[in-house]
Formats: sequence, structure tokens, C-alpha cells
Amino acid sequence: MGFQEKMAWVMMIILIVTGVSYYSLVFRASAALGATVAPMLPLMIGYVVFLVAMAIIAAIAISIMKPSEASASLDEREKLIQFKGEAWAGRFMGFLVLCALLDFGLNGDGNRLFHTIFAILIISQIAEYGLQIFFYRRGA
Amino acid sequence: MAFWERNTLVLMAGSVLGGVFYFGVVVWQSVAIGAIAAPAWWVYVGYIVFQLCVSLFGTWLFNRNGDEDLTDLPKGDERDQVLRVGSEAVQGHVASALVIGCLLFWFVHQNVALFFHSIVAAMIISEIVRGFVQYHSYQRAI
Repeated sequence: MGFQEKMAWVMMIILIVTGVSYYSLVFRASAALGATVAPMLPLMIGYVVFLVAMAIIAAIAISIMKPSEASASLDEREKLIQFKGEAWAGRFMGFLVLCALLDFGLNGDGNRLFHTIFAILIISQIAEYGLQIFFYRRGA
Repeated sequence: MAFWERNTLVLMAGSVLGGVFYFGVVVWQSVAIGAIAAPAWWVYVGYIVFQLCVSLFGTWLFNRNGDEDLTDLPKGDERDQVLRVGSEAVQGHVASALVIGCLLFWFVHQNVALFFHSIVAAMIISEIVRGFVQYHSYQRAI
């Protein structure tokens, strides 16, 4: 398994764990309030800082394990896999955003729209790494 | 100009015209009420239908002669596919960056209608950027 594939696995796991943690807080706060809780900037900033810190630590840890792989630039196949993952995840994000906007038309809850859009960003990132792993495994 | 190159231009024009239609109506409504107009179903769905109609009509108009081999359609050849995937990857990045900007901008204005319209704008802009990148790639003969 190459550096890019390892990074994709690690980033996907980090995004799932941090995303679930973030939304468990949002759901708990919403349940306590009895309505969708308003977006909280400190929580979002905390989430992003934690995510970036985890990504940096993971990249360093994987690089230390095999430094030669980490310093190598992407070959044609890896570039194409990265492009395909990004392209499919982008389409997926566009579709989900369309659904979120239509959902807002039904319920009119702005806070819910905000949380949904933020969740879509996280989900599309997870999908991007998941697709990259799929293409690496398939040998695309 | 090849089929997919023409189609890129047509789809980009569809996005531009769709965007002009959507924001033309939103600005017109906003001026009339003196505030940011709330999202309306008919404007949003109208935008999607309008864009689809422009794209379909444009595709028919510019390809009605049928004077080229279309056996590779609908996927196009390998170069078409690489250009499409590359431009869609750029679109994904642009859309993500703009949506993050919209989320952060929310904390400044806290206006749901403005948030909704800014997300629509982000999607339209990313679609136009995709078309531009793809067309530029064709012109550069990548």
C-alpha cells in the first residue's frame, strides 16, 4: 500500500470520527433545546483545528514509517485516481447540496440548512477518500 | 470544434444564463421589498428547468448537422474523459472553497435568505469555472 492510499485511509477515518463527534454534540444540543441549535463558531473552529492537527500528525507518522514513499511525487496513475476521486466527490456534493436546498424549501429551518451544508462538506470529503481507496484497490 | 468542446461551451452558457435568470429574479424581488428576498420554490426550480432547457436547446442547435462520427458518445474519447475529470476535480475544489466561505459569511450576516442565495451562487460559479477550465484545456490542446 502506497503513501497516498495510506493517507486516504487515515484521512477517511479521521473525518468519520471527528464528523460523528461534531454532530453528536449538535444533535445533543438540539435535543436539549427542542429545536435545531444555531451554528456555533467556536465549535466549528475547534473542529477544523482538531481535524488539521490530526491530519498533520497522521501525515508525519506515515512519513516516518517510510520516508522514501512520502517524498516521491505522484505518478500518472495516482494523479488520475486523485482527479477521479475529486471529480466524483464533487458531483456527489453538488447533488447533496441540491437536496439540502430543496429540503430547506420544505421546512424553512435555516439552522438545519447550515448544519446540513457543513455535513455535506464532510461527507463529500469522506467520499473523496473512499473513492480514491476504491480506485487504488481496483487498480484504476 | 469537436462535439464535447462545443458542448462545454453550451453547458457553460446554460450556467451563465441560468445564473443571470436566478439572480435577476432575486435582485428584482429584493429591490421591490427593500430586503433580501426569501428563497422561492418557483425561482429555484425555475432556474434548474431554465438551465436544462438552455443546455438541451443549445446542444441540439450546435450539433444538428450531425456531420461527425459520434460513435464515441456519450463518453467521448480518452482525452475528453481526462479533461472532463480534471475540470470536475477543479470544480469540486472551487465549490468546497466557496461553500466554506458561505458558512463563514453566515456568522457575519446571520441571514437565512442570503445564506441560501450564496450557496446557489457558489454552485453556479463552480459550474461556470468547470466549463471555463475544460474549454481552456481544449484550447491548450492538452
